[in-house]
Amino acid sequence: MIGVGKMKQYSNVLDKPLSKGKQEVSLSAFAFLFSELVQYNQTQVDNIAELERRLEDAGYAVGSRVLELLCNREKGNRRETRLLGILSFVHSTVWKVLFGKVADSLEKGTEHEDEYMISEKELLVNRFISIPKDMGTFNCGAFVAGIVKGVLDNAGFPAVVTAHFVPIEGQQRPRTTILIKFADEVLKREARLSQ
Amino acid sequence: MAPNAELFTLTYGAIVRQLLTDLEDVDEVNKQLDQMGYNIGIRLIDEFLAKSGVSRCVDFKETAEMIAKVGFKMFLGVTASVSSWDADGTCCSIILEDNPLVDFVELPDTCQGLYYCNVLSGVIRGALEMVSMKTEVTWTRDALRGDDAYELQVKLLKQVAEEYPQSTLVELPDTCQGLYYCNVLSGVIRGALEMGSLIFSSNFLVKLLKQVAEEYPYKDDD
Repeated sequence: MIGVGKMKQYSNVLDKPLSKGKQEVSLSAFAFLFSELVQYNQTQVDNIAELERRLEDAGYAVGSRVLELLCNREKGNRRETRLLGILSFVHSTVWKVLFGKVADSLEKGTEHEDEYMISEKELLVNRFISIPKDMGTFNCGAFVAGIVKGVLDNAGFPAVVTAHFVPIEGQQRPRTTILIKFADEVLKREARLSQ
Repeated sequence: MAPNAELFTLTYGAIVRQLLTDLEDVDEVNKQLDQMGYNIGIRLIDEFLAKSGVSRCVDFKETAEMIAKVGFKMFLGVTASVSSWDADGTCCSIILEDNPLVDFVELPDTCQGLYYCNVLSGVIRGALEMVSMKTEVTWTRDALRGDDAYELQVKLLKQVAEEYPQSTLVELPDTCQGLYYCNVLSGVIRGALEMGSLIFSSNFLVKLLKQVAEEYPYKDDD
């Protein structure tokens, strides 16, 4: 019987030292795992919106944990309070730790005050995935959108985050954009803090 | 750009959590993890063979060493060790000291029957089945349950010899010398590749096509 003899030696996982985060796994290991996640969720839902929501929920869980891990390890437990601060944290630190590079660009939306966009030419999760025509606008980047949402929500900046394909002229594969729409309270607080 | 092990670990954690919420029964989750692992394993083996370039393993002992030293290193970045061979060389243990799947993980009391890393047993089983070995893979030690390492027991049940069933019972008569009897296979491959836009990863299919064309005794059309 496994685990029977040695129960007493089980140390609390919180006592173990935090890893340095330098270990890497192969790209294909992650791609296989992600494909299984998507395939499993496809069997559980009837429509695309549900599928995107489930992927986003999975990403949300990852995001909240990534925030805790990074605040502890990289920033020495300092908390971001400003909007631009948290956005650049997501755009540089979070992206660098998770995907090995900073995101391609961070832009402010022109139409609405509360919209920001993080763009990536080739999102890691979408790299080996092709969407069949009948799935329309479904984007597996919903997982990454969920990660961003998890980080922002748990840092105190509630937002609605979605992933979209933006076709670029001259390139075969469209760019992926993560659209972040902050809640009203965030903007009010930011306005108050800027004074 | 190789993704960070933490992204991998956290994604796997999200999968296990989703399964626990949906299925609620720990045994069902174990089975589902094994099935997912199996689905991964049957595709992973192609990439493993293509990237490592190893030739056929002589016996099961060599196979186990390949999995532990080359396979785990290639995909998870950790090396495992092989031990506890039985007398006929059909059963062994693969031991993992480091396991990237379980960083930051603690099993709550409600999930004590869960084999958290069960996906790994499915991967090994699936991969070996694609190279004609039927195996049974079980966990003998699990650090999340209090042991000091992760130990998988891999047992070879059956080695299925590869056969091309058409070639053993058929002989072409003189009147049909222009016939490519197995032409259906070339059509199958061509049709599958045409549908390639829906297949998950297409670069290994092309390589596989080359290998099939070289090994097959009959001449293939187009």
